[in-house]
Amino acid sequence: MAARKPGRIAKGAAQPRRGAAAPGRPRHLPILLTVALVTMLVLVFVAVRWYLTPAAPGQVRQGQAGQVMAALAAIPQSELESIGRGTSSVDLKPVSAQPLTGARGKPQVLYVGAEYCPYCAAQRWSLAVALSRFGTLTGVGLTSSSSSDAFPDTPTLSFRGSSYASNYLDFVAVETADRQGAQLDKVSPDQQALMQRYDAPPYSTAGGIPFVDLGNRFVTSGAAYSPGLLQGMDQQQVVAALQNPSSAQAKAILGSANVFTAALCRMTGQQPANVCGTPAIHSIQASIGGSGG
Amino acid sequence: MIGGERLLAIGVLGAALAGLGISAYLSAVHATHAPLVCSVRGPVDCERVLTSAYAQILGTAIPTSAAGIIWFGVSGVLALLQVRLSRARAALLAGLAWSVAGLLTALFLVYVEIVQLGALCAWCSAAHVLVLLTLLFTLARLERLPRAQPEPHGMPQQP
Repeated sequence: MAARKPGRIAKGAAQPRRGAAAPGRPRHLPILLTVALVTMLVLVFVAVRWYLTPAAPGQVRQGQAGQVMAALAAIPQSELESIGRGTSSVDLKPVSAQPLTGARGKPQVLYVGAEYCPYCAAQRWSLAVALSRFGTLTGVGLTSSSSSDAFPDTPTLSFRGSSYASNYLDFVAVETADRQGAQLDKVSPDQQALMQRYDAPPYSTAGGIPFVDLGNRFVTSGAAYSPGLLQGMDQQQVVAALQNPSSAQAKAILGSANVFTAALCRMTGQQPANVCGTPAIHSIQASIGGSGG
Repeated sequence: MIGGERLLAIGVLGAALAGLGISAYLSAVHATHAPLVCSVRGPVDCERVLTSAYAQILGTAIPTSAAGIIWFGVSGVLALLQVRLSRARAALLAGLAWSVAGLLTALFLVYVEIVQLGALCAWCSAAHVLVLLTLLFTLARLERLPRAQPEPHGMPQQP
């Protein structure tokens, strides 16, 4: 009898059927496990998103700044595009100086403000929307301006303790005081030097906060719109108003965000293209002066 | 290659071709700024997804859909190898590794869509389903491969 080839089973002998499961193992186990795993992960994603989704207007839940930020980051580009400059009165002053770069070597946005300050409260909304177009801003808080200052209790975010992840920009926020005026972050000597130089004439008429330095390409001091637009609202209602491009809040906040975006695009060399390459941004860039990019 | 195996390999090939079509369409829209055929309101909002920072690869101007062209292209080549080379185990294992890598990437993008952006892109989701199908077809083909039999003991070896 001729010897059989090793590993081959003689014709007629019992042979495992193709596609049959190994003994003790359910058929199609890897396929079923894969489908189950994918389904489970998608359900987890949906659950996380549900948790982060902003509540309907009028159902404010404190401590949910993540939901507000998620909503700001999700404002459709078509809406921003349709608003253009809106009713923003943000006054960007071009400067020519050594570019300001952050710890990661990217062009840096410096914000100096305080939680009690109603003008800072207004400015943060626009800045947060603009920054969210270039990266992800996390760790922001919800707060409101002082109850005893002008435009009392203006609803806003706080940048204190926030972090920013972006391929294009670095962001440094200094909140110098809480809404009662108690000291929080200290302005570093370098930041103080920038403020002394650029938060003063001819760049600023009065100086003070909020002060925003966009990579030493542009600076601005004061609010881009009146905080009075936000009076009587809470953060969720502001977010809801931003969903309506014809609301006064959307025209002011998103219009200012577009102006900041146009300046930020100058800093990033017009990247990312899907943010910086739009007609509205080009149009604003033509009006804000500055150079390069 | 028996009929069922060939059918599965053709399934992988079909998924690759469909995925190539979707990825090429999204890349063309990105390059030409042409209007996208897709819903822009509610949970399915292609515009929100495709104009986000995640729509381009790591800060470059390259759209994420370009990676889809490469992935589906390689997947198609591997499927062709599996069809042409009967029981091409190496090609099948390469296809499995490629599919797993593709699925992990697709899951990350699904995470970005659902959690980060709160919007789904219908075209992207179709491509993600095709990646999943590619992996399932590949797993099904692997299940059908005959297992290697152990060397029989005490048998004289053929010189």
